[in-house]
Amino acid sequence: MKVRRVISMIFILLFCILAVLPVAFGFINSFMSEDEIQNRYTAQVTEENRKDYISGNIHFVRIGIIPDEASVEQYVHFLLKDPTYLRFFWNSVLIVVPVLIGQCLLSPLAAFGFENLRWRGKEALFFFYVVIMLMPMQLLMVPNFIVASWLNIRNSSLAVILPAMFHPFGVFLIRQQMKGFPVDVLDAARLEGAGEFYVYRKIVRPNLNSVVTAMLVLLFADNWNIVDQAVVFLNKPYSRPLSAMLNQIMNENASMFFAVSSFYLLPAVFVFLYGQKFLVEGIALSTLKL
Amino acid sequence: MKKRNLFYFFMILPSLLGILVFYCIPFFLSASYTLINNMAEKKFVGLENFRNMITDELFLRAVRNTFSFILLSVPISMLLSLLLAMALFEMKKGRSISCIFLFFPIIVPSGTIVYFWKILFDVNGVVNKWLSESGLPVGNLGHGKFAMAVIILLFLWKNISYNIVLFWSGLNWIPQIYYQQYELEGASAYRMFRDITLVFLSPTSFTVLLMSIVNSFKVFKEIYQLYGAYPTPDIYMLQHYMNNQFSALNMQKLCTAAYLLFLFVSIVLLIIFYLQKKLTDTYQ
Repeated sequence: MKVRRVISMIFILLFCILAVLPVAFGFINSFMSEDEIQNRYTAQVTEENRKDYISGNIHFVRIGIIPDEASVEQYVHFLLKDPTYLRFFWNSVLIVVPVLIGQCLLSPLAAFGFENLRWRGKEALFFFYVVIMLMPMQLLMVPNFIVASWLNIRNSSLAVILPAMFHPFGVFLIRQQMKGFPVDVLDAARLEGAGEFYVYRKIVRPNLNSVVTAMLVLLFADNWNIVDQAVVFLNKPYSRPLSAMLNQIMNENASMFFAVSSFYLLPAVFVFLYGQKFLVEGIALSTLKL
Repeated sequence: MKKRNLFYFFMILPSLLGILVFYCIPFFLSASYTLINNMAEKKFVGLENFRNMITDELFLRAVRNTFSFILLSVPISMLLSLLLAMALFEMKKGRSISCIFLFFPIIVPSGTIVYFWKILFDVNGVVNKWLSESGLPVGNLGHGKFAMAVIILLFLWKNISYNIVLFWSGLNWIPQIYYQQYELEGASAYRMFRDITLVFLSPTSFTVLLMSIVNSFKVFKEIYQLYGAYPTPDIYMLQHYMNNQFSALNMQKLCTAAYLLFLFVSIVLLIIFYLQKKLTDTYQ
């Protein structure tokens, strides 16, 4: 029994380290100077790798955790001097915030409606939601693309925002939570003469706060990591979110990458730490019991 | 009663309109695009687009790669996450802090860590450095079979946390009394695992299977960011195929591929739902 517990601990510890390592690596490396990053990780010929280069050997990267000399020059550069990166960051914000607001308003309402509606075709209708939820992004982008052409919003961030706002995940998740809600409470309120909207706003909605938070965290994770949609819909320069630009930054301006990507992670970390408690519950709820 | 029902309907309406306008209606209408030759002529060609697609070598390669990726990565991720969830369950001290670390990858944007993977797996990367230092031949990890192994690793890193949460909440539902019973009888740990844990976790396992397949399509983000729109042929996925049709604006190929993908995913979903239902019926 004791042995098993120790093995479990070691196993978990190992994976905790693996889970954090890539992020921690990026964060600490963001304090390296530009030259050091060039020397360590890029193929550029510098004083250090001249010999390798001349003799024809592969010059391997020198991975390092601790910077030789700490500096914040990249942070200063993109926060104060060159607004390009902040522009991309702002694009991300302008996608995520409307999506979250939209979902926050629409999903609990729709879930409440679905749960209470008495109509034979209800579950069939809801099945559409589930199917859409489970389809790969690339497939969903086809109808999104067609609508965007109709509405003439291709190449605008609306083409990403609007479909994401109506994505059925939120409705599904919240309805799962509502299934456990005691109906008697609602009926009692109704007998007292409370209107349906009153019941929703004063009794149901306050009890949904934790699942709505879980929904927001999961949706944030998804929409803060937009790559596919940006590649398809946002072709104008400077219109893409930072998540879809990081690989370009890596290839074209490697020394800026660690600082910018660590900065991009910050809001995600705050959201995660804030919603972590609800997250587990939320994911567990998304269990499909059909 | 009727008035109240109407009210519920109006609550659903905003969301429903969005679903219809942005997903359902265009998808059904796009069926007509699969039956014509091109957007200019609009000549009816029957199922020729489908025939062309399932004989297109590039499409077949993408399908093969996607299949082998799912077949390899999903079982590994399920097994590993089950082990981790059980280990987490076994732990008494430090569980909540471990949870924070273990679930962290869920929120990390793929782009944030793409450079780390590049430094590890590039031709002049860390893995090759170790190989050459220990006297082994250096390979190009971005090509051939290695490329598939690399993206499976990336997939595991990003998606295993999700499965751990699912398995973990499943484990919490198992009544501990069964274990105590077995312990009294002196049963081995393996028997307890087989007779209790696996049996009680089987509904959860289906969910994990389903979510793993759904999530496996998201690996495109990682591949795209590391290798661009045209990675080595060994990891050219259906997602790449479709994404590249978007930029070529080829509506026929795009919609045909979408319908084929829809058919495939629907079949997989039906099989999983069917098995899940059958399983719950046998237990009840």
